[in-house]
Amino acid sequence: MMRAFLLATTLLAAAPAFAQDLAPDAAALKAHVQFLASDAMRGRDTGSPEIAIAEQYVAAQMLAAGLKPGGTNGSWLQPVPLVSFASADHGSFVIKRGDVATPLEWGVDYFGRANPHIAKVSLSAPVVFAGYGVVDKASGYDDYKGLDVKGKIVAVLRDAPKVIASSDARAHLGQPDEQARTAAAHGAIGVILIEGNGRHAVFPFAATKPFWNNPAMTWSNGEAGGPVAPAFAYLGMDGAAKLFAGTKLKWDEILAADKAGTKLPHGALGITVEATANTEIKKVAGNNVAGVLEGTDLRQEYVVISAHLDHVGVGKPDATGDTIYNGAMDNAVGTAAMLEVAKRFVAEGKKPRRSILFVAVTAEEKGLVGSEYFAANPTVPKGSIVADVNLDMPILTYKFEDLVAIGADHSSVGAIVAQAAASEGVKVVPDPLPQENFFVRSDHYSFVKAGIPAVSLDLGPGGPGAAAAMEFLAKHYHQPSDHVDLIDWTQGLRFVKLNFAIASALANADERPTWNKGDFFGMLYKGPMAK
Amino acid sequence: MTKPIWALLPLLLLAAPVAAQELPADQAALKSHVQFLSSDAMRGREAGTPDFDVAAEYMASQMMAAGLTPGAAGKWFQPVALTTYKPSEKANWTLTRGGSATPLQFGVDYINTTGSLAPEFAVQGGVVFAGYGVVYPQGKIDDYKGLDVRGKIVALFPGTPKGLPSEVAAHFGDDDQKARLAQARGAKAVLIVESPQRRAQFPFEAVVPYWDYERSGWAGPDGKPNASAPGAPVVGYVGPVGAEKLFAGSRIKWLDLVAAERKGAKLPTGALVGTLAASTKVAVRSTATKNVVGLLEGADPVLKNQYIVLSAHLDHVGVGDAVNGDRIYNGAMDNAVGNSIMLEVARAFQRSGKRPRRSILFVSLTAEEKGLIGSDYFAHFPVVAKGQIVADINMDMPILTYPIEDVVVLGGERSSLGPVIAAAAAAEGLKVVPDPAPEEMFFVRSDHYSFVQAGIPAVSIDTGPGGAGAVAQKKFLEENYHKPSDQIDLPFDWPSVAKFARLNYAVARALTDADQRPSWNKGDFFGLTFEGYGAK
Repeated sequence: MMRAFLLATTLLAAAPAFAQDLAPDAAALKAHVQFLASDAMRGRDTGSPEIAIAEQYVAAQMLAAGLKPGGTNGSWLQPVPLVSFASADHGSFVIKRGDVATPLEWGVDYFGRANPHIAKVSLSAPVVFAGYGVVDKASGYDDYKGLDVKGKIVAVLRDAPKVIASSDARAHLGQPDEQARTAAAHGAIGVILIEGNGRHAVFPFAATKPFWNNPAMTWSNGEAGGPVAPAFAYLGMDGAAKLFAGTKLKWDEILAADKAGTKLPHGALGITVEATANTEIKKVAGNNVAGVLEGTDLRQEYVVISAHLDHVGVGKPDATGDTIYNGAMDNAVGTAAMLEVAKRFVAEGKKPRRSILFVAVTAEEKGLVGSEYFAANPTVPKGSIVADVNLDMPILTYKFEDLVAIGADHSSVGAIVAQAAASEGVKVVPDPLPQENFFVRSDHYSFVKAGIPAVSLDLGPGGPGAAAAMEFLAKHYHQPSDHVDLIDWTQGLRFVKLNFAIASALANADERPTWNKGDFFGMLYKGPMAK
Repeated sequence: MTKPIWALLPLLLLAAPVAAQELPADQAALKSHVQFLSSDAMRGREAGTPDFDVAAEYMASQMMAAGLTPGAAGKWFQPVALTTYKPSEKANWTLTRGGSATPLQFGVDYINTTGSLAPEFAVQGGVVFAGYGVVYPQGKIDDYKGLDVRGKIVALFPGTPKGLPSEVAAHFGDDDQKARLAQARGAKAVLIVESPQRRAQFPFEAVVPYWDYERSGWAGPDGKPNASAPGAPVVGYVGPVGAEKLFAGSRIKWLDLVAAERKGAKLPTGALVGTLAASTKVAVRSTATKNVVGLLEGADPVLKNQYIVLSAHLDHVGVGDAVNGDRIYNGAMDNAVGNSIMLEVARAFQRSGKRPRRSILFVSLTAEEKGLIGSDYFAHFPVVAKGQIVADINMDMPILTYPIEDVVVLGGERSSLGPVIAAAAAAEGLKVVPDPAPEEMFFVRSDHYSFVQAGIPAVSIDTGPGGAGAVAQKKFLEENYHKPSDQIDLPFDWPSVAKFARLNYAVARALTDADQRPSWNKGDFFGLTFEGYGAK
């Protein structure tokens, strides 16, 4: 599960141990996690030697499970052209009002932002404030209405407007990449992101300082990226006040409108910004691993079961001195469940109607990069993937009673999942934590962006679930203590069985899944729509 | 006359689907382990590297999936301290005769070696030449006959006298074994003196540049490096110039030795003149590695206290000199495939639904390539009580690139294991044939030998020369053995791999479920030497 924002380091509690005499199927499930989350695998960080070993492990297990290679050129792997990028220096940011130049102070007023495709950004252009920089065709919301930003720099709040009702849509539109894409589409040449109230509450500008040159990752799309408007700087509230000083827009009023959820004042600021941002860009090796179970009459259509294989590697020691972030729950167990679902299909001896493509994706923790690459460059014909069911960090520490299908509200996949779950005695319940924006934080979202109906399955809050999830997130999520011992294998098997039922239902249904009529994402990414 | 069309059909059927053919489930499972363990990502699994540790985790998790439980004191891993050692300096040796001391010259007269494994070791005393240092009653050989070597330094020729059975020769030709025999007779140290025959193979001058070559061993749980004969270590290797000085003035004439060795006659033995002051300094490093041990507990309330060991070394030689641009020595045949078979044997027991009567320990061994170290450690510190291990079946690099017709059982003629294996092989349509290359001394070159030395009936089962075997094996040994090309793209014959796995399962099943425990043949040399069950 990709981190949304940095959590304070928490102290560890002793992990509950499950001294179980394991049944063969539970032992098989545990074996994957025990291996993938062993200290020897050093947290499976993208770009590390250990993730390459993990890829080979999954390929070998897929072979043993009876799948056929589903990667590139008849192999198990799909190479992903990963790019790691980080700010190379502090850059510069100068405001010019006529002849008066006001340099902003790095770390106090602004941080430079790294850009994966442009090593040296150097801009000088007039600035237009464009609110949130959001255009939503579905609701008619348009921050660019009446603005001319051609050849200019746009400044936007790093958030999305509250008037857009769907939290999933807001989460999507408020991402810097989306804001930059929208800016480019309107002819802007650069983007200044500004801290708003929402962002300030969860991860204030000042707290980001230690991470100013942390590397981020994406995949290279070569020269085909089209026009770009690099988001080259991030301004804190102090910097924002300096930007707006003396212009016709008042920073106070913008903040107040942001808080109130009313339309933000916007327009040209009558100033010019001269700025530089330098990025160190490196190529990183990585692969998605894919195996196919061929279907029968509908075999030209594919249901994807995905789970990310990477975790966050080796890092800061915890209170016990442990530096290895094993990632048992995140997401060795999701990968393990995927492999066991594959085995169950083969053991069943009855082929599904549609083909099933099992994909262990890479670089999820770096920003859903492997899945995004796969969804944009599938190893099967474009358009043949009818659905994605993603398994990411099911918290298997308790007897679960219900299931959260993130993204279920958007397509017919939701109803199919609910029905299959019901047959296993499990209810599907709404996301109890919409404010966590899980919809854009796991790999199903990459498929959504390719127009494919997709969900991520998480365990629900029923019974001891809410407390167990809270406990895991507080004590073990992205900590060295995310160990194999945390997992209750009886629940693990229930989860496998549930996923098998869901995958079967999707693969055997007469009709392929469709987006709900008029759905925001279905419209945006031109997916198959219910009439 | 042309062939009718139906006669071609079988050919067509055979030819067409090969490329797209999927492996049956048992073969796919076997291939999956080999594919993973020998992938480039595993970087050749050298003992002591992180890559080996990953391989060990893989074996542990696969053992668990196959229904085994942790077999080493409740854990999957038996820690092994892998030591590497070498002489840390060129020593100064002195020969004293009639009150006058002659310094010997390093690199000209001798090189010092690491036998003591002590940081510093010094010895002074008279020197006794004891031929090859062999004591082999069954062959009526006792090189120490009539000699008193108590408190003395024993000088020995390398190798063994002519005419010994190859496995016996391999046993006595080992310097460690010579040191053990010397120690048992009260000697303080051993010198190996270059013999004319050894000179013809590998002259002293060619050995000297490798004087500080690093070798490997293990340290016990107490942290002390294991020396095979700490009371009488091999302290040095003496060349012809040094030998002349050593033998000068003695009644043993060097020319007589040369002649006797050439003829295969008994070498003249006896005390030399003067005293030798010799010393060694050794640098020892220690690296953590591990054996992986999985247990399948037997069902019989009594027999379950007896253990059959199935072993296969997991390590290979790592990353080395590039061949055709490839630096990774993957070790698919050596010995990923042995481990794969071991895992699938465990799974076959699980599938059978019938527990074995005796217990089985599945042991994935470390540091075989560094000198059978993991197995030697395991045999010294077995995870169950000494004496409870009743047999070892080892799998080491069965060459599986052709349809197998027969198998070779190294050590099979020495114990009741041989007939059991022959019967199981026959049931698979396989013959057991004699070792076609006894001169390679495979008997002492694989891990079963560590169990032999602990008195346990033990064999390695290899694929045989029948059919395409001889040619295929020669090809593998010449082109791929210990080369980067020992990898998954070799023409593995997966049906044969599956057949070989079934054979190993049948052997294990027969051994676990028999009423009688395996025993050495009465009077067998190794059985007697190591006081094994049934030999007397």
